[in-house]
Amino acid sequence: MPITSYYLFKRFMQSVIAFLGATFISFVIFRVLPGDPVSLMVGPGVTEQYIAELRAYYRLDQPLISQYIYWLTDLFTLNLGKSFRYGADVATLILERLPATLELVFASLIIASLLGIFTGVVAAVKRRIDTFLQTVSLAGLAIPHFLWALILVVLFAAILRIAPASGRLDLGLVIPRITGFYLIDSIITGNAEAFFSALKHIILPAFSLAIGMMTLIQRTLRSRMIDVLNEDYILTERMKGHSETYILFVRALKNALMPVITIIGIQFVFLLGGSTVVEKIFGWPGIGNLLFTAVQYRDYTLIQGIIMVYAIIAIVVNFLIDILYTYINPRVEFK
Amino acid sequence: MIVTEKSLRRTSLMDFLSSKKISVSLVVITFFVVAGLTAPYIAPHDPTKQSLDKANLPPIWVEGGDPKYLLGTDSLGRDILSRLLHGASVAFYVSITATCIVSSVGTLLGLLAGYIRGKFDELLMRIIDIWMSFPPVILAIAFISVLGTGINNVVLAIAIVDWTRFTRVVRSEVLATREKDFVATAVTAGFSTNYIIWREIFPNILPLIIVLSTLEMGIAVAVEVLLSFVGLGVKPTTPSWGTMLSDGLLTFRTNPYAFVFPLLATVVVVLSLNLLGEGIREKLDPKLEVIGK
Repeated sequence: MPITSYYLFKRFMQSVIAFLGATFISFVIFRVLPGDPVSLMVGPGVTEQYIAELRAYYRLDQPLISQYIYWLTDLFTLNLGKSFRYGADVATLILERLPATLELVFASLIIASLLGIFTGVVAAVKRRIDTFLQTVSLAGLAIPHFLWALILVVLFAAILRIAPASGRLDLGLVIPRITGFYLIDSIITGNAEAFFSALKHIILPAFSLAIGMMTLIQRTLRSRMIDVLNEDYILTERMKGHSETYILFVRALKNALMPVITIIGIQFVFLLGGSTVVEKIFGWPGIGNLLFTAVQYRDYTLIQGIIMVYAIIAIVVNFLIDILYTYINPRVEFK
Repeated sequence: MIVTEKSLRRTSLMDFLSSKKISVSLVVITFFVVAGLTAPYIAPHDPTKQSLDKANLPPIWVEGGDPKYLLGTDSLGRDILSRLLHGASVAFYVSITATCIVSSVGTLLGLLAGYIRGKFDELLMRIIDIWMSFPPVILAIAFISVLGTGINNVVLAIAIVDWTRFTRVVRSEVLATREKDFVATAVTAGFSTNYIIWREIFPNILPLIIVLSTLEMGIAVAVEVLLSFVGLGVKPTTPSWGTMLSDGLLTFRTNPYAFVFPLLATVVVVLSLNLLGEGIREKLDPKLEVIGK
């Protein structure tokens, strides 16, 4: 398949360019905008010599472009500098908390896809459910993640008290770190109690993030399914005597799924952004929470590192989604 | 020509208001805008004045409510109604100014890139691609961390982040419009590029710009509340729905009203702006589909 591999190569190069662009922006934001990062960091009442030393340490005394090249080479060796606030390596701080963020984001992607696809198919065939879903989906689309988080935390954690309001795990439970994903690690170690505790903790924040994307998937799939179900091959399947469930969820869905994958790709970046505030609301120990602490303490090396990591996650996930798209639909053309 | 345009405009105004989505959301939005504009005159109390002996009062229809405090007070004894009114003015100030900047920049760049194409278009699209690889909320937080908090920096952060999406959608609409026959006719007739962009293409993409601007207003309200909620929006002393939410969340168990009212206000305004956008879209061009909001 030479065309596909050519496409993949081009798509990969595009990701590389996006990556370089993203590194440049995260680098430049903290240097071009008004205010010297060092004086912003240390505040008043520090000796000139200390500031000069810091400037030399962050290579601020050198021309912008060589600063950038130094910074980029450091980036490839995972040397993101030292955090001002924690005194620790920025890369270490981020890697420690990254699995929590990824677990949350992927959990909500799974919830959004499964529920979105299921309700989308149902809406395409059941008129009455469709009318209901069309009405509620406006709220699902319009209300941003953090407002859902606030609504869910108050409703289920404060009033109904059926799910915990913060953290990743009940106090006293320990899960050995294998992948860093609590749900997976607790299964590997066969710790059922920890698994259900982790599940209970992740459900509200993951749902707050999932609702928007779920609605969009449902809406897109619904209209696509209605078209597909009118096509001739569906009639052929029916005449072959296949069950309706098989026709809907296997034969029709496969063809209706394409725009859904595009939607997931477009929306992922918003979900990732939304996860920061959702982490803060639910006290989720990921890099979103770390970002807010870093901003509060004007810890610019840490902020820069975290922003970088978010951009990388977005670029990688979008690349993977495009590959998935080519895999499902080999006719894809590269524009 | 002019006559038909006028009559068209008149019928469409009536037509617009006949849409339930548009009329209902317009009433709600007008209510909040007027409330925000007149807040300094109609607010019964100073929104920042604390009176600890009046702390955590419920609304008047709940037992223990004080008739002087219609919606009750928060944990510091500040009047919730007055804070909501002043919060509305903050929300709409940010939303309207940010939307003006975003839509002017987005329209101008989108028109230029889509009509002139070439190197400028290529470069602009690459920049937008890179810009959009950052989650918007995170980019806004990054800018605020450098610019500092404050209402105008919130406007600036929203504008810096959101111009890309607007530009991109306008550009692709311009690309489709420039292929139409009337543009080719205008080119053949020898009209200047400037004339064609503003007199031929712009009026045709205006519906899209109106829809996008309405949606942008909704996004801007949400972003202001979000940034203020996490302490990166307006100064902590400025009453905003976001600061009310973060204060209210802390005392939710003892005083749910201080949290529920700003939550309701935000949800209702954001929903109405989206409903308005969707209503206008349906009326102006049922084919227009704006994804990736």
